[in-house]
Amino acid sequence: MHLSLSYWLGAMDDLLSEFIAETHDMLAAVQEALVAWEADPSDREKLDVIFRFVHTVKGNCGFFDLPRLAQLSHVAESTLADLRSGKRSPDKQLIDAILAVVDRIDDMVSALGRGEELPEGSDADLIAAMESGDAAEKGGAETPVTPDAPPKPEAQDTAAPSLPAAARSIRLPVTLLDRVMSEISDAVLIRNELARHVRDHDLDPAVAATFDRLSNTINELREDISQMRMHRLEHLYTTLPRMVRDLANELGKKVTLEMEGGEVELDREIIELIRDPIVHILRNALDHGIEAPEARVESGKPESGFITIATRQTGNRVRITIDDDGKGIDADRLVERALSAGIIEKSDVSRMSQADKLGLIFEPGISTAAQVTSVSGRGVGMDVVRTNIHQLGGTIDITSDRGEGACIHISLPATLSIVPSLTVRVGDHRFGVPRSYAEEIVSARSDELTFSKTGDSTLVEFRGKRLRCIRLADALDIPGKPIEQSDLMVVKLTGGDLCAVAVDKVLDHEDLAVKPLAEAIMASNLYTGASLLDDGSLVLMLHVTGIALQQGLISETVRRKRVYAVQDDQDAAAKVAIPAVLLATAKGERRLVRMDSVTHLAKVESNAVRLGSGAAQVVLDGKILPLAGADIDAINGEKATILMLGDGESEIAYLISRVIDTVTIGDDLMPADEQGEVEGLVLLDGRATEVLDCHWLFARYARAGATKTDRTCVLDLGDQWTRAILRPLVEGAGYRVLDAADGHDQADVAIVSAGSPAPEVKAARVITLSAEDTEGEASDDTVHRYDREALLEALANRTQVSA
Amino acid sequence: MSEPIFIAELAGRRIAFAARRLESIVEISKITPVPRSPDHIEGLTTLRSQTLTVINCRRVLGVEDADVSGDEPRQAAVVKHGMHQYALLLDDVEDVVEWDGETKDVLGGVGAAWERVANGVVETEGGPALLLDVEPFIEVGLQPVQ
Repeated sequence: MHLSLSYWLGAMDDLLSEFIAETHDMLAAVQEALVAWEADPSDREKLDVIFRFVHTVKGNCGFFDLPRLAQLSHVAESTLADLRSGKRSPDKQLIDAILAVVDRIDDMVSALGRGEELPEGSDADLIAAMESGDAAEKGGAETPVTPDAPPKPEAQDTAAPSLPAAARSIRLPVTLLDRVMSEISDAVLIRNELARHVRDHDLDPAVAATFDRLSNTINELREDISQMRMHRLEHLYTTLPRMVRDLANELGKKVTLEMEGGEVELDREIIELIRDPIVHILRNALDHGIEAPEARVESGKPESGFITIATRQTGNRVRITIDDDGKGIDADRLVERALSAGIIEKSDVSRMSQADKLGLIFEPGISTAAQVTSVSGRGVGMDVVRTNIHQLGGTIDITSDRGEGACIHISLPATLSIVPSLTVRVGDHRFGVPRSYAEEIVSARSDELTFSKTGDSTLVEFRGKRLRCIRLADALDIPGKPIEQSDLMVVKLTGGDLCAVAVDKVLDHEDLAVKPLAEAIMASNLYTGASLLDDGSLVLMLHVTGIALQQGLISETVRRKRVYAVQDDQDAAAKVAIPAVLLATAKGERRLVRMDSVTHLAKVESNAVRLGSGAAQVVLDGKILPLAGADIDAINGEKATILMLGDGESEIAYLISRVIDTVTIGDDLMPADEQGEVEGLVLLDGRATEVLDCHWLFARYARAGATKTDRTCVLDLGDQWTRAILRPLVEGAGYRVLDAADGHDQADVAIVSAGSPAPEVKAARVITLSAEDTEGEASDDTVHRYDREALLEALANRTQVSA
Repeated sequence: MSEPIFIAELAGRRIAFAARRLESIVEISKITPVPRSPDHIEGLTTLRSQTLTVINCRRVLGVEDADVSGDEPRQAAVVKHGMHQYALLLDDVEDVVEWDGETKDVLGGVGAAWERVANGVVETEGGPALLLDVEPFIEVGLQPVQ
């Protein structure tokens, strides 16, 4: 009797916790549905989700003695039923009331989950809000439900489509999971110790076989438990739309939040750690970025702002970009604040690039909020966000076009997650390499390889392919075997280039749980973290891309987003800033070269360079290339630094002594008096600096016989922006540029500015450049002036001129 | 207001850390070196399946390395800073004592490196000790990220 009673009570407890868990699960989905439904009240599907939620809560309340919850959900259910049948139409007041009900249900259920009694209070306010303007409902809602007569659970509403069957799941406390994780690690270590004993003693084969079975089971256990820790980013994303909606309402703004990439899986811990930074960035974007609807309309934007969160996983990094189309960031105001806060000196300002100025937003004590709002501007800001991201071994930076919005790029190591890896040995060290990079493994002693040296780089000929080959020992500055006695990993780098990395030995395939390391170690850009092996020893996980960059195997990817420098508040005319490289030539002159033309930097042995002013050449990667800038008598030192310039079809080398800096320059170029290597002068930090004329260099040095493109594009070269910006871009896309003023009668493409008269030329295609960013409805042939990608795409999609 | 401090020996001096800043005191026997890491980082070690970054405090102070053979266990104070745990290598550990919260100025002559890490001189039963902060040992030469 007693036994059965306690059994029954226990079962009730289980039921209650199941109810609480189920409600919480549904809440997340409902939050999203609510926001979507509010945006589009005709969205029947979302309304159904909300109805089902309330219906389920109401039905469940019947089992438990929860009169308050039962009453509230009952009224909400009736209201929603009326909405579904069209008896009532959703207005803002009603939607707010429904949202408030869902919140209240959330509060109550959370309290139950904490084992508390339901909070005291009345829901009359919400019930009244739902019933206001309601055609009097059938009684029951007004009369308090007596606690001792809980309503019977209703049958499933036949109108509600039944829920899809979900996979069975249970919930576990995270601490328990962590304990299980560390216990399994210990079990593995003990297993390995046992394995040594098993090897050392001649054991009964039956015992050894049993041990092997145990060993395999432990391996499987460990894999499964590792999987338990993985979580889809959706878990974080589902909560955001509601937050954004509430905040936008509070601020009187309109905004649409778009999210993609929720299917990316990350370690649970990382997801928890990036939650706050992302929420903070969103709040900032809403508070300071997105303008009030009327201000947006005034500046020619749609009244509702856009915030996009995009997530991408590449190798073992996860990139999250949060983009808004608000008013952007006022770099000059940041500078002012930084000056008054003593973060920078007056003398620093002239040397700061636009990116540097924007970067000030991450400094402690800077807040651009003119007044402290309840949302942001309380001095705790982006500096904390940056610190958190850095501690995860990630990076964060920001780009912004004044008036056009801001974009925050976060790159995180997905390191806490399990990375399928190869372990390799060099000297006494062991390292891990993400398996995703390794295309193939070959022993250097194999007959199919032939090595050759050019300049200071080793090439390996492998199945008809020639690959650059580096020793990991060199890259890490540790002793290791000579290349000829190594194992080679053929590694596929970002961008698809293959290269070979020589290690003493490739040891094993392992799944490694990589943990980030201290910043002082991460800063070297050689490692993504470290992982514990089964025997308790540590391996460092290599940052393949970082190493390839340092070894000059790939060129630094250049962010070519244009930035604007605003002169001052009166003169808000945007001025284009062009990314450029400041270098010292072999003769020691300061010169600038546009970043667009630079493909990469290479170092070669001096003896691979043939000097001279006319026919200088350099041997690089097994090719002989024409070399410009080599009008000197001798190279100082053993190595020469070569800047590789490309125009999309041919490459030339330019001899320099070093790269000084990457800068941005304006387009107010003072043309040089005569055609030649120097295109003209620009002012850089108050100094007139010569800009290399890559165009002329290609014409002069690119190998004769290189087929010139037959595709033509007509531009209005009378316009300065077209000359300085558009022309190199169009040429880079493989077109020969014709000047509209010369009156050509035929071309493949013509590019005109919106509002200017149609070109007189008979072009197969006309691309129109608009000054405003068209609202996502850009046709193929109308492109925003600063949308480089769209423009290149439009150029690539050209239609053949029918002969 | 008294609080416990931990007394140890480092580069020939008696030093102290506030005990609340330390997670534990451990003996480290195996250190995995990290190629091309900063000079003051001795390497990594593991403690209860956690990875610790081992800091060579002598190098931070610019004094000669202690004379230890490869596998000899070394004493270290474990510190949590940000999201990571660090092990600060010490020459010898003494004890945890109560401290009355009084500090005296560090008199000159200890050298700039010591002055950067020291907070003051504290009097303890065993004599004076230099009270050190842990942060300077961890944030060595961290360039503010541009």
